[in-house]
Amino acid sequence: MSLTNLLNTARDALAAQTYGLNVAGGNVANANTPGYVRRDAILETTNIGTQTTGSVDVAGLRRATDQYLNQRTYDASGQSSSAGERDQELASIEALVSGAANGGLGDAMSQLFSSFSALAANPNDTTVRQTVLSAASNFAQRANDLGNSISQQRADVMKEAQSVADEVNQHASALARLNQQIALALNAGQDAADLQDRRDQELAALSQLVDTRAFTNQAGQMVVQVSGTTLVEGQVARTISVDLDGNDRMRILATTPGSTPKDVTAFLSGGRLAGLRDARDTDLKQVGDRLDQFVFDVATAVNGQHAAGVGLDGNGGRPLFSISPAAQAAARAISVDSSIAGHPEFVAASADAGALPGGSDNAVALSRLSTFTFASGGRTGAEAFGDLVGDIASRKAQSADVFGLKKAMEDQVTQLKESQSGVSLDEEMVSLTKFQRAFEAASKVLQTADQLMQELLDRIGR
Amino acid sequence: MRVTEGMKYQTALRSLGSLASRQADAQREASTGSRIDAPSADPIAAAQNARIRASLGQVDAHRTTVRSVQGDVETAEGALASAGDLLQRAREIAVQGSNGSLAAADRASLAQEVTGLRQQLIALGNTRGSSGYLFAGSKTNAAAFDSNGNFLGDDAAHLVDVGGTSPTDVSVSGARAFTAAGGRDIFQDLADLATALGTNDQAAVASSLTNVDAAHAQILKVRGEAGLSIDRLQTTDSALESFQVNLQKTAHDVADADPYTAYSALTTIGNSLDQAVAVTRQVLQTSALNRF
Repeated sequence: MSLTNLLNTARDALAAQTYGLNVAGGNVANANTPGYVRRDAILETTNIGTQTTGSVDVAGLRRATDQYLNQRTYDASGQSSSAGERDQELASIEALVSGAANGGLGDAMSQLFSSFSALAANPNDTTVRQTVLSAASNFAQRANDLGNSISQQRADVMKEAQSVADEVNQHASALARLNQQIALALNAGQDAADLQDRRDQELAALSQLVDTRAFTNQAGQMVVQVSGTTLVEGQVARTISVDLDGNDRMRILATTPGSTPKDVTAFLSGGRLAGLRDARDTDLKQVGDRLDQFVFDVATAVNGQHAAGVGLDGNGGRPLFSISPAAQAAARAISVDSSIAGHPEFVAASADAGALPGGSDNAVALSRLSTFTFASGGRTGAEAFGDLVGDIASRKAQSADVFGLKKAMEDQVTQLKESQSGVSLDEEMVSLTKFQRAFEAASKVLQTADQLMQELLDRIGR
Repeated sequence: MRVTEGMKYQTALRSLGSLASRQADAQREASTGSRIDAPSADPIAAAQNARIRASLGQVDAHRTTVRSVQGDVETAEGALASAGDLLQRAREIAVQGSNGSLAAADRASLAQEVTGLRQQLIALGNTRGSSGYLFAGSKTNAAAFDSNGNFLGDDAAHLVDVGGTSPTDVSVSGARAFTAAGGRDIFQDLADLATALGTNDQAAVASSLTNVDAAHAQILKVRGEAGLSIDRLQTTDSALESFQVNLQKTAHDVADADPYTAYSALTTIGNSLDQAVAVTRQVLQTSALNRF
């Protein structure tokens, strides 16, 4: 043991405490930086041979992070984004249908039946007949509007899914680049903490778009899997794309350069992409089908009864609506039949050509359709429309519940992660004080060693 | 558990955010007075509301129909009442004409009066309502009787839908009121009476009295039916009206917010928000930072 050693120890101590102060300072500076993971300084005692000199060495930084907790964050944020996206899509369809329930399609249907009732009272009145045609045209128009809106929304969702896929691909290439930079930095013996923070943030952003799994493979490379397929492996990124399959359902394709795209839709389980897929192919599809069925049922029932009567010209068999033979796309396609549009005299109020123009029995039969259970499932038109509104309302209510639950779970995991990785200013204040005191003590050690050395030199010099 | 600044801010943001959104909901409910502004707020009520709207539309249509046909039936009933008066006068003439002491010239002038009555009766038979000739059955676009009293219409029913389990017939039959379809061809009877008076045939005048009596009864019978029809329409209308009131009440019960609940919820949430802000301020100020 020598005095020189003591001087060296004091020097190492000053350096180490300064490093500690720097790390604490960095933590304080980044207290509000998104994605910043709190660092700890790793200090070690130094050994020379078998002897412990008591000096200190800076061994680097520790990022307070945990791969398993990170994975839980990705899962939770994927689930929550998926539910949030679906909820958002359902909110727009709910707004549409809410309009339809208050003065839209529902009222158009009751106005149509009301116009038949008025026709029965005054079968030979041209104005009343014209009202029937206007009510029919209004019903068709409202059905068109709603059908087109739903179909437009499905198309919009598809576009959004494609832009989400583009974003996923951008994150994939960013991740591959970061993997490369981190490998370079670590090989050069540098501290890659900032790059690792950025990679974690990329992963967090990716997990909001699509279900994400990240792990390190045996070769020490980071592997990122989305929708059950490998997106990034070390420094190699692949791409995903979205299109429609033969049944008009959204399809997610994963492409490895030089091979045919692989359909991975079945494994998609989270993120906005899953929410968009569910909204488009389950909710909007079923709501649209239900609307088509409703419009088809109304039009078919009205057409059947209308064709049974005769117009003022004595000819019968005319449909009121032009409609496709099957329910599919009925809401978008329905219109007032061209054979009757503009011809109020062809409205069939009478069932019997002999009772023209005052016969009203067919108009009564048309009006009474409103109480008949012609809609599928043995429902009246009003009941079927109420069911349609109720269906969308329940879907929206349910999706809001699911979103609330998933959001709460995400918040909880985020809290856990924040608890582990976040900066606590109180803690850093303590750290700063700790290193500051140690720095002062090290200065004292230096001073003491210096004084001893001085005293020795003074005595020798005397 | 390690508590960091970030956690404090997140918790504060979340609790204040959720309270603010609940406050917005309560505000909307209190100001719009509607509980189901968005259908998802209560899916069952939303579906029920859609059905009630449809039922209200239907009741409204039925009431409009009642009002629109009621006027015509009343006009027809009025016309038949006048027809009854005319036949009453015809009967008096027949009684007068069958008096043996009456001179031929007097009978001739009575015959003229009967012919006049007959013309008036034809005019009454051609009474028009809002939807054409009231006594022509389904042939509403042409006069029911020509100037000779020949019936050109039919005895078709005029069905309307005013609710209930079956259609309602609101026709007042011109065929059964004026023609042989009801028993007596009234115009023929009056023509016969005029002829008998004109030819000074006292016996024929006396015998036609029975026919004029029968004709009078026939008109009154159909007029009675029209009166019943008016009664029925009025009953239907008041039934529909109370149904409508009930439906409107149900619609309010289903969709409307209870104002007291809404305002007290608004106040409660406002208080919670104040408390949360106070607590948050306290929490965020508590830091070791201030003590170093």
